[in-house]
Amino acid sequence: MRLVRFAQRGFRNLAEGELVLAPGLTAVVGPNAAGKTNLLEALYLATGGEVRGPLADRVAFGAREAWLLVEVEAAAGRFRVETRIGPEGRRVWLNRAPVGLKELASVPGAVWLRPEDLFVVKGPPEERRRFLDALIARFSPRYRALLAAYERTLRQRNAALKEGGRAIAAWDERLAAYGAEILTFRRRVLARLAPLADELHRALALGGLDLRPVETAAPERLLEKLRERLPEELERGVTLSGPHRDDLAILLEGRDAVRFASRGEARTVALVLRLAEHRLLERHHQDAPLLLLDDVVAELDGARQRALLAYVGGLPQAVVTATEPPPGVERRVELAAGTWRVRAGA
Amino acid sequence: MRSPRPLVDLARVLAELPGVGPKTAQRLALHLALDKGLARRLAEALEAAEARLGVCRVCGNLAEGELCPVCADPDRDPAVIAVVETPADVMAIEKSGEFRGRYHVLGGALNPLEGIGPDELRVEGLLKRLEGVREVLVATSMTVEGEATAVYLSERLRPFGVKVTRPAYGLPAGGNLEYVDEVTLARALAHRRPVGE
Repeated sequence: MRLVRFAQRGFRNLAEGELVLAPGLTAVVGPNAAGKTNLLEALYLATGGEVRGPLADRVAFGAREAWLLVEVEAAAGRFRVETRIGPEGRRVWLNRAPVGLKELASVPGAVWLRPEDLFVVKGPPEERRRFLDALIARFSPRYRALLAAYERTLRQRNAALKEGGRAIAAWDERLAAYGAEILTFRRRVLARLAPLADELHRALALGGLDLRPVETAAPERLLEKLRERLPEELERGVTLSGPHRDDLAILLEGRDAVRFASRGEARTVALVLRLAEHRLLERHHQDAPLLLLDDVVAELDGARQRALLAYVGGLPQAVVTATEPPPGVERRVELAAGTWRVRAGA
Repeated sequence: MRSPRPLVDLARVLAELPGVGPKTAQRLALHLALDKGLARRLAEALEAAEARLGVCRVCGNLAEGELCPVCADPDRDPAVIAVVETPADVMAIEKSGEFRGRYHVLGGALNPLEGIGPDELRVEGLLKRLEGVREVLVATSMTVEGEATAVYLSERLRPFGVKVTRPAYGLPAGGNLEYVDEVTLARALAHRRPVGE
């Protein structure tokens, strides 16, 4: 996929304007607080990405709404996506027709690498579950619906546990049914993600990387496990087994990265996970998503920086932000106080 | 400008109806205030409905008197019972014209978050109706709560040796495949069946 044109009005501190993005790698360069992250976030949202936190925070101070426009050339065709973020939430138009956000699932969209991705490696299990769930939901609407059903059933079961376990067997059965399907999805996607992550890690750093599911119960044993732990759960009023308690093991040459990786190693792993996500989406769509790298280059040592820039330089389209121009990147957008100016060959 | 008190009170009550917001309530109240004839007929109808509508002694559906129209109809097959959550579900199935059995209205679905367990639903009443019944069609909603209720009921019904069924997951009739949402399609594919049966 290639993002051809981007335009915006009223998004955070960005000045109203338009940006024509060339294929290949473009660097967005500017001092701190110039709006580099805001520009990347705008590109991410405009291509259908989902973000955490209140959407209203994205609207510029004093503006009624934020308006974003992108034109993309994808393998599936040429799309014009318009997004408005305002009092009515987020509304999207695809080729001028109003659509739900999930209609954009047919466009590869963007993958956004951020310094916060470090938490996927170093944070609590919830961060790793969220990474995997968000990734799977990007190509399966069924998975998205499953997660919602599981979440709702879990809340009902916990409520039933707190009131003494009335009709608990029915909730066990439903929870185990949704849960087993979630686990099967996770296993399947992980089996495809892990080799990509390993390959990318070997190319960017030294040594292999392995990803494995850590399950409180296997899919076919989930119901049994719920029944087994019922007395304890009745006492505590919470469900102790299931996908909401699971984790993802990240092994660096067989060593648990969550516990033992240095900060530098963890950053590389976080980066590799996102790049693997990018590759997986590329395979799914037969078309590469736009890759957005926010402030991740400067954190790497020289050799890894060169390896990363060489890799992303070979992608159909990528944008990298930095305070100083990264070596070897010709096309540049200079950003100062929310206003961008295109330089050199763009 | 302040509206007369009775008009405000009327609008307030109307606003409690499902699907009626404050604006619509005000419009309806105004309309009734200006059409005394309609207001009187509505008042009479409301009073009659309130006084004469009750719950069917057998199935829990809405009824005038002891029995609902379905339970009172001798042509309905007593060997098949469709279990639903609300009287609105009875009406929906009746409209399809496909079901010739009887109903049992639970009065909701299991919902521990709202304090609704089996004791708050008409479950015991159903179990007492099983003599001579061949099949129980559990037609609770396809929501998380409806599905859990279906599991619960099938467990409770098992000792009685009665056949328990559930409506099929399927595609909407007359629908073009490409417009069906992915979740419905995925379910319909998972529950596919051989052609020509």
